[in-house]
Amino acid sequence: MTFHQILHIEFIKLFRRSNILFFFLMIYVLNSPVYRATAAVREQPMMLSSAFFEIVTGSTLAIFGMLLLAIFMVNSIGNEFNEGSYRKSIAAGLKKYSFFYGKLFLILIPTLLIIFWILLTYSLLGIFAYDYSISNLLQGINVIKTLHAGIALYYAGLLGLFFISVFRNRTIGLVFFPFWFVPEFFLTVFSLTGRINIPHDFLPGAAGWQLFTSNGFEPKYLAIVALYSAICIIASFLALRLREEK
Amino acid sequence: MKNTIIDIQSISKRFNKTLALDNVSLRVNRGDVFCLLGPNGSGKTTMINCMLELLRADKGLIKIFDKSTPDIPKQKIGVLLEEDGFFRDLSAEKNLKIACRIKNVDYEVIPWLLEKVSLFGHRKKMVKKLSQGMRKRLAMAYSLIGDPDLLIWDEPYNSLDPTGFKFMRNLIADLHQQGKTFFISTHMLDEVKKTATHIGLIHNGVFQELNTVEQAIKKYGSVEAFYFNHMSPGHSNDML
Repeated sequence: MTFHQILHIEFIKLFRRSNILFFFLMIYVLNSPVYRATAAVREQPMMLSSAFFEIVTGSTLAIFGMLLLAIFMVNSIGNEFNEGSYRKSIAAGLKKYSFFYGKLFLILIPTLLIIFWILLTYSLLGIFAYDYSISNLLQGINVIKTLHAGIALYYAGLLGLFFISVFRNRTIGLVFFPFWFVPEFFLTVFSLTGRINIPHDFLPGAAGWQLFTSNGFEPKYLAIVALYSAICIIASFLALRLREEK
Repeated sequence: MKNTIIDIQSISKRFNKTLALDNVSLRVNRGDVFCLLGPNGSGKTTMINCMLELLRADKGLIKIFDKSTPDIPKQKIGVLLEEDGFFRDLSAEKNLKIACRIKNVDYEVIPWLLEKVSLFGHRKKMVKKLSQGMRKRLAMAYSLIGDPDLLIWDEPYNSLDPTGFKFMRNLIADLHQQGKTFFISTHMLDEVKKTATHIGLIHNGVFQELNTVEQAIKKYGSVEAFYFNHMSPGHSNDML
């Protein structure tokens, strides 16, 4: 099966009504930078383009963007397991690795869409509200931060892929996924406030969030995220490949 | 000598303590309409799942078109599974488009296939809005994508009304005339009599017998007698 065929299959599946949950969250995620940017414009009539860029890519976007990606993957693949369409596709001749590559591509779509939207919001509001010149705009874009954000979003999608490949059930995946991150959130907060002493930076969700919200080059978080990404890719591929389709 | 399309050699499959398939061997030749009979839970679906590489047989060999698992050429096989397995919130047409992409077939066949199963007028409807019978017909169209030489259909008669039965009968006859080979699992004995050229029977995971329909009738008196004789040997007359 060619790459083009795999892409086409994923593209047809993308516009399913069952992705409606994802689309609602997407509206929030896409509104979030616009809201923050317009609020900043109201409050501060003058601002450096780099500071404005920081505001557009605020930290709440990190949480909701990453949740969006993970929930989208769990929901989208979970549906295929639940309704038997995955099984039918495999019986019809779709190779499991083709299915897997398709999903790796699928994560890219919302990831790139969010990054594109952040850049578009920043550029348009920057030009119209602050009269930034093109060179000003370009100087304001923190390339490292943008790359980090993109990697963190893609990583969140991989976490979703991992969860659903292991559990193979949309409902369990959607329930279990937040249950994983709520304790992780509290552990991180307790660790940051000194109540407990754990290496919270190494928790999978926390590492992704730290990477998304970091401003400069963060090799430590990059390495942690790369390690977890590799684990997610290998584990989800094996979970798909080794399990029989009863 | 006829070409062997399906060659199953001594396959066994166990699920925990249950032996679902016990050393099953059988052959299906080109142009046969082979019906695998057996009660619920006898191992029919397990055998089909092994043939389609959804399950791995614990031992034995499965060869289809002279290729063994995992290299079975699925482009040449049309599959109809017991559960419809469609993307429920995609239209009938889009489901077929996905199948076309999987099989690397042009979309041009879709209107023709939908016409063939009388669903062209419903092509834009989401699958979840279609009746069970319509979904079954859509599943038949799905299985015909790519003009496959072999059709593996698992319980195709389930959820069909009398019109659906007639439609299915005509479709099988039509495709059989074109030289297609069928492997159908079912327990609808009436339909088997009308459509099959060969019948086999599986019970408790053990393959009992393979015969042409004529030979089975000659030997046992009827297809029903063939079936019930293997289900409860010596008491087939009580069952009939």
